[in-house]
Amino acid sequence: METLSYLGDVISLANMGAMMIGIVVGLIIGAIPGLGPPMAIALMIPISFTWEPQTALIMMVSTYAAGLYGGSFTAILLRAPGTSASAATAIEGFEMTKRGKAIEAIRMSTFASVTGGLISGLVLLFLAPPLAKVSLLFGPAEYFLVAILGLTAIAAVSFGALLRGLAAGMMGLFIATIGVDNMTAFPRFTYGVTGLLSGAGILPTVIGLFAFAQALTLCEGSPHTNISGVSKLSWNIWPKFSEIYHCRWSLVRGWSTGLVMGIIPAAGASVAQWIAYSWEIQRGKPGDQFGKGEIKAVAATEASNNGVTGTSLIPMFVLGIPGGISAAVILGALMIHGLQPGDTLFRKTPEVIYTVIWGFVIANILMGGVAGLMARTLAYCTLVPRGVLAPIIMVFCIVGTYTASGNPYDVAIMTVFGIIGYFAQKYNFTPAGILLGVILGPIAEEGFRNMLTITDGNVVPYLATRPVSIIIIVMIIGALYFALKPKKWETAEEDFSQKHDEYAEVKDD
Amino acid sequence: MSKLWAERLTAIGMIVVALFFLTQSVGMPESSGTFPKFTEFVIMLLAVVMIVRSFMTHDKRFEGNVHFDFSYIAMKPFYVMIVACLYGYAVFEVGFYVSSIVFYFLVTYMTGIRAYKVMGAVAVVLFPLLYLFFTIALDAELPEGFLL
Repeated sequence: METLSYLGDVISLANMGAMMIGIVVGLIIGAIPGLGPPMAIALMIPISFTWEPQTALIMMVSTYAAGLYGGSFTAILLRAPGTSASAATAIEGFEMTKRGKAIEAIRMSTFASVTGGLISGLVLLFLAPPLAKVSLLFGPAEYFLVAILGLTAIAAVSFGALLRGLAAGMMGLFIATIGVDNMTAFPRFTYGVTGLLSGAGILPTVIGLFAFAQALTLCEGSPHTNISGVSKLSWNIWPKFSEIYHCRWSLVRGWSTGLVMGIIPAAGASVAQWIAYSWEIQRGKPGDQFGKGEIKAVAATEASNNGVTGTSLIPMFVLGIPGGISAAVILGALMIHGLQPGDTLFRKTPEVIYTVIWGFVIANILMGGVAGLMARTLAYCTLVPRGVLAPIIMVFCIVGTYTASGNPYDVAIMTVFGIIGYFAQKYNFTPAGILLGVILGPIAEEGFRNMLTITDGNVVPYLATRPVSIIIIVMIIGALYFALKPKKWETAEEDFSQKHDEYAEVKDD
Repeated sequence: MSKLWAERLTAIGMIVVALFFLTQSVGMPESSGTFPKFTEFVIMLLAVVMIVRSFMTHDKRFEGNVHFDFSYIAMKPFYVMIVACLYGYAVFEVGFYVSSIVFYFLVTYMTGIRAYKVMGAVAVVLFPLLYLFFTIALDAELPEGFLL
């Protein structure tokens, strides 16, 4: 097969060297809150000006895959997601760290990310042109409905405090309206503050709600204890077969969510992780510890956020439509090296594009080895006393936020969200719900208003003629039903508590 | 104060804030105000449900009283919040590196760490690394005030 013949072209000193540089840089920069894959890829562009196009692009796509995974390190170890795509992992992964299971969380996240990226890369390799047509089926109505589907995850991640979780989600949706309205250019809730004209921003929100808030939480209690409560770390950074087998269906759910969401431009890993997470919660079994450190949730969210990487490049390579900021930066790199996205890329320069895609596939495999070693080193930070770690995290939050945008107002917004996140976590207002609202609010509002414009107010007949819309509506109804239905693992926990209370009464007698 | 009344007061606070922003949304042109109004209405509705539920059902989570503890240990995060806000301001007036070094030592001390050698050793490693990574490697222009 022609596609397979380009695999050998990847194995050259230049290509493999570029790949390793991309992986290491991506992992390091992705781990720092605020920096992320787009910045890492953008940094690589000037270095690669004089390189061969396939070598340069192999470095970019390797940086992209590694950057998305790198955010998971700090998400799991410190509850400080390096990227917005790791926020869901931060919830369960950090709870595992608190129970002394940081290494278990990291090795599962490494396995899930590597395999997710690998499968996504293979899909990109063999199915790119036909799948690109699927992304063209998504219009304003579908974007609005995908956002609603993502918002149903709020109910799932509320963990028993449903009303407060929904209220948090609505607050997030409201916060997303702050700034200049894209359609009417009217400034909403800015009160004359220039820094609020561009709105809250996803990055300051993620960093504030998770990382900064976590640093404030670390200031509570004894400053001498560490996060994990253990004094030694396990050396076994390679996943155990028993763990993989235990999480096999979670991995499959995560991969499939990531693969599908990656094809939809603008949805991406930020949405995919929450859909995978809520699906996982809904499928939970008695004995699962969602909200308290459940390894299956880590597997699902990590599988989904790296499962997005390959398929998110499909609209960009085939149609020239970047699915997100990282894809847009790679598109820029593509054009700098004289290549045009589209069908001609595959027909006229197959030796370049297929070599790059094979490079992406191999990079995901190598990433596992490099990431495992880096993660083992980074895991030592969980042994640092809380009183020392807290200010260090805050310093990184400020520097990461400022470096990402260069906007001092973003630092202020991040700090405010940090304070909001601290109180939200304390009083069960689910910071994840607020974040979901901020991420999905603009997509939902824009899609809704565009849909109203296109349909002239006749939404229902319009939706009835669009099969993709009908499929998503069915998924929303299903997601809501399962989200509100008592879950097997929740009722099992309540049964245990009841039995425990009955035992306590007998004992008192 | 009982936790039940704390829940009701929280819900009332949500209604008050949502009403305030609703009055702002009413004056907005065309369709700009539709989505904010929707979120504010839903927040108020959820708050009303919270109040009604607090009167109708018996939830174990609302048993007992809210304990107010104003000791230094309990209030530590609040003091750190204030210092962090001042730090965020000082970064742009004084300079990132000087502010960060002062902030690091101050907050470490506030949390209760007294191992000055460890604090110093961490600072000696951390801040040069920060400089090497952000200023040299990334060529990031970090804020400078009248100091570095």
